[in-house]
Amino acid sequence: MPKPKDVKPISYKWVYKIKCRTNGSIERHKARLVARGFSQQYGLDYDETFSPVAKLTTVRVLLALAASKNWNLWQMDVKNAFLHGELDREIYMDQPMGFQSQDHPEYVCKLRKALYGLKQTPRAWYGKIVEFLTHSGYLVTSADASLFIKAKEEKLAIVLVYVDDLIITGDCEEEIFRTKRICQFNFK
Amino acid sequence: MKELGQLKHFLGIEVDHTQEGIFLYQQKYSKDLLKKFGMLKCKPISVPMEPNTKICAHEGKVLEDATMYRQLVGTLIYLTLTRPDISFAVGVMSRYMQNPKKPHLEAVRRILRYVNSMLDHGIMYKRGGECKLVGYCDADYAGDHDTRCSTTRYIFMLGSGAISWCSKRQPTVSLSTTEVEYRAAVMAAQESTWLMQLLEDLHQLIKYPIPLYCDNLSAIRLADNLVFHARIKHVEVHYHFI
Repeated sequence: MPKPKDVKPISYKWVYKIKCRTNGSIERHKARLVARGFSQQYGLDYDETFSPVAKLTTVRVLLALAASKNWNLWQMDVKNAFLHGELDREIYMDQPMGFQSQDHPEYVCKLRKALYGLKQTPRAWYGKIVEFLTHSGYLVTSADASLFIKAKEEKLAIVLVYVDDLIITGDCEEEIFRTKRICQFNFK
Repeated sequence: MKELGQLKHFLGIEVDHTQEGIFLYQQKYSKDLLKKFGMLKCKPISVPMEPNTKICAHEGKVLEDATMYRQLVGTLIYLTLTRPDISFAVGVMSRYMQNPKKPHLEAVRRILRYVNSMLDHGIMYKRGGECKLVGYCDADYAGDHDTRCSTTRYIFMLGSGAISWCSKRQPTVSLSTTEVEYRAAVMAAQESTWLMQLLEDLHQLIKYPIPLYCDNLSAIRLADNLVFHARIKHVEVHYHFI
């Protein structure tokens, strides 16, 4: 889109990485577009950046409980978790190299979703997962902001979020199965 | 989102599901750590710290490679996730991160030798056991030779396994062992209120008072009976938390 007045688009960078297997052979080449978050201005481009992660004690408490109650433990991970976040501000970025527009090279990109490197990206992802889990009936616990629980007729389903890693446990197999399915459906 | 099935690895911690229960350990992490610092073939040792040694901040030659020391202690701190036994030794060594000296590196190497001696150790949560919360607290009186601050230590067990522990230097200088132990008990009590809240959130009813074991009689008496004795006046009022 054309560059709005008084807007300074933030710069970006391509980051290339070679993923290796344990034996040293190349698994795949990875290219990641990262925004240069340090050029963002506080108050203008972002305000809140804090994002809670689970305390390790919480993880251990959950595992100890699961062991003593004979609960199953499931693990899921979200691919490109940070890219799912919704932005709370309008942020413009230069056109990324290799994807410039032929007709309008002077245009800027308005970001619709969070990008690696932005100041508010981790918080945006946390907001997204909270919204999703509370929408599916889970409640945030007061002791740890990344622990979610759903109680149904004395049966429990518990989800612990550690950035993009999820641990799901509980004695309500039916609910756990449902949660896993809708998770897969919602975050592709 | 990818489903990874049963929980096996989480943040570098390996999770084993056995007949007996769930076992948490960081064997691969420890091996990588020893490999990175060239200590894979070191002689194992059974105690992480030499007993009765004095470690001072200003003795010995300045280390040339301070970054390496910091990395070493940093990686060891992550290892304390499943190893409460080294948390005191690592905590002491991390006080010298600012300006590490040769004797400090020697002491850290000793911790590595200890780690090498029990690579497969971790925490076991027994299957089907009773889930009771128990706390233990202790203190190391004036253990820091530079500031003469004392160290608080506590650990909480849920059922058969440890869930929460801490080894932290107290911010103030205390004059008596009673005061030091009392402060340790206060910190443990604070942690226990949070743990109670967490277990309540997880719909686990706690119908019993949580036992907290302390090995100092006068501290126990003090907690029991708040006689505001002339000698303990310096213990601030807000420490009368328990």
